[in-house]
Amino acid sequence: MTSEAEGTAKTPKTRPVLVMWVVITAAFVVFNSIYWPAHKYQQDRDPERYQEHARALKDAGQTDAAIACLRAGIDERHPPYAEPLELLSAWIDAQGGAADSDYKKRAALYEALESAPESRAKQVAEALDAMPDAIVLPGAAAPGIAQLAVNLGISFGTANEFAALPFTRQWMLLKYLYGDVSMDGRIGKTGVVSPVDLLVQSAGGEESKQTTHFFVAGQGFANNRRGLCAIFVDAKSGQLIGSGVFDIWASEDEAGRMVQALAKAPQGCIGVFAVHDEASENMTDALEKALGGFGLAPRAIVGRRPMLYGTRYAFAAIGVKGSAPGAAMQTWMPEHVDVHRGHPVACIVLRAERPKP
Amino acid sequence: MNRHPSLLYLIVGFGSFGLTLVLVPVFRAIARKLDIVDRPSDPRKVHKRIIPYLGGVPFYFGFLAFVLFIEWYAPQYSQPTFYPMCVVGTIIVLMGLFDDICDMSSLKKLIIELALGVLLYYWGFKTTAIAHPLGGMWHVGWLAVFITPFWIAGVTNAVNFADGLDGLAAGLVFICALSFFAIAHRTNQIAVCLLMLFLMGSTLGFLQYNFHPASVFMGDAGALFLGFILGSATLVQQQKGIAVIALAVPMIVLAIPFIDTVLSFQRRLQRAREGRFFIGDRDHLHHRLLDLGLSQTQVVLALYYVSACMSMLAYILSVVPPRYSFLILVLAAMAILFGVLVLRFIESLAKRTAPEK
Repeated sequence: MTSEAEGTAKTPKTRPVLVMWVVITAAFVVFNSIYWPAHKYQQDRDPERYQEHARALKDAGQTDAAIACLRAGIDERHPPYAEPLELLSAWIDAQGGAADSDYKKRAALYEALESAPESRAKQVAEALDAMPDAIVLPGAAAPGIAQLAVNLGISFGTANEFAALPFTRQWMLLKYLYGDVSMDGRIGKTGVVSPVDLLVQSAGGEESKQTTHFFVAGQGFANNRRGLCAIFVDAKSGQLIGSGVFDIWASEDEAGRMVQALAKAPQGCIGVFAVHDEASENMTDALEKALGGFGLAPRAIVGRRPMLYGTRYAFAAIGVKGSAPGAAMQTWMPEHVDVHRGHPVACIVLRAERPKP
Repeated sequence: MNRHPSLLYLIVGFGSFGLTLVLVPVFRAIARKLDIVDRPSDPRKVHKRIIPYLGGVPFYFGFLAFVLFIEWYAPQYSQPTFYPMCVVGTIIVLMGLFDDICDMSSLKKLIIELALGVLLYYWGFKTTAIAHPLGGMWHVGWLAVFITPFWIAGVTNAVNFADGLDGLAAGLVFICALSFFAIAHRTNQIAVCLLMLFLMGSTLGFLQYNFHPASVFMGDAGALFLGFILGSATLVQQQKGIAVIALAVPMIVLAIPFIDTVLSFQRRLQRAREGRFFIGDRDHLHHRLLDLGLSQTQVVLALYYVSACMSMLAYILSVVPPRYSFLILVLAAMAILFGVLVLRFIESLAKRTAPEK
């Protein structure tokens, strides 16, 4: 109970005020001396701050660790801008090693995409022309490639220009900017070779106004319902054997429903997954475990625990039921593009033996 | 992915309870030593003995410990807004201590609180929308720079005004925090759950010393700090990237202190012509109930009961679909109006019977 004693003024007492103020200030100073080192320690381990952490390691003279940190961050988060890619290439070059050409090409493409809108398409075309060695897709075009290239273009305001590109150029865009690509039919490290072409695209947050796209053996499917969308494909015949959309943002019941659907899928079948907008809010341990059964692995570290945090924004994966966690193809993009969180990512599996064009 | 960390909840709840239980006697002794006590000289005061202040300072120490603990033990639940809360909380405690020892006018306190609210707005509490009680949002844009400070100062002062009887403010904050916890738990707002558990633990620990007959008062330092934490906690968690002020639920939960504040403001306006706007009076809700012949414990328990009922209404409001929200709001408004009318009726009845005696 306080006095709230305006009007009955107390006798000013300077000493107690000073004593208590010193006590409070001292406590706050002590708090800061503990808080900031702890905060910096946690921030250095925040996956979103991998660039700062890598730079700090470089400044401390630990170049190998800095390169490893930057490479891990780039591979994890697929940053849709040139800066970290250029930095990584430069550090590798400075060390006297051969810079990974894929990083350099991605850096060149993103640099072109960061140019002024009126010259963006031209710059991208020039960047693509400067890397002719990348055309290694034999045989006929896989249905869906053009659609995915257009979807990628929507994020950068170059949909029409990307649509007008020749197939080989569209393919290069997807290869370098879009995520995980297999060109021999193998699905990650599962040991399974897909009998059909599989393409899956997740478009990021709802505000990107794009849908989730699947192409199985040339047949296209689109989904614009929020949640984690799954398609099951027979690993021998390539036939579609089931599908579903599970709104894991809305409730844990949906997560439970997905666990049941994953359990029902036959052993050895291919699971193709993509997030539309958000599918992490009500993710349960059971669902994480069930997805792990398809070879998906926890990616982002949150606190001290690895979690499938990637099922938010743009997230796509292709796995096989019964494979070990980490064996699946999996890609995630949480970064901002044109103020939208996450630009589209895709997992693409193309058969090595292709029909003649 | 927001699975509730039950162990962390237990640690925070019991930890803050235990810390307050240990620290309050320490600060009670310091208050006696420094002669920071409340003497029953003002007619508005209900107690008859000298009671030491500083019982609320442990809330501040507990909060610093809470922030450090989260940063160290569970950084994934730490919020960027926690540190600004520590800084502003420190200034509020310093101001409250000055008021407890030397007195400070309400005008000066209000100006400082609003200035701190503006500081908070620019330091991470950037609300841009108010949740519509009937569903949807009002985007307030730049007006938020005014709304945020007034909201925080309003809640802060509401708790301070309620601090007029033994155990009243602490108990009301406990009930409010409990209902906020239930609502935040349902909507997976873990940071808010943690803050509410801290408030629940601290107030429950404090009530061991402050429930009638109180051996220590929290003082303005404690009441303002509790109100500030409660007010700012409603702005901590964001909804899909947008910080939203959900006005309806907190206003129902805090109905008792808010009604008292509004009625007090109305009386002050009436006194403003005599130049006594910032002078306190003995017409707060609890004073009026005491004047009706209720004992201090009865008044406190009655206000607890009303607050608990309002909290349940607030919880129902958060659960029902938006189309039914209107009914709940009408029900709450009718209950409040009925309560005020009954109080006035009983008061007038008591006045009429008094001369006969």
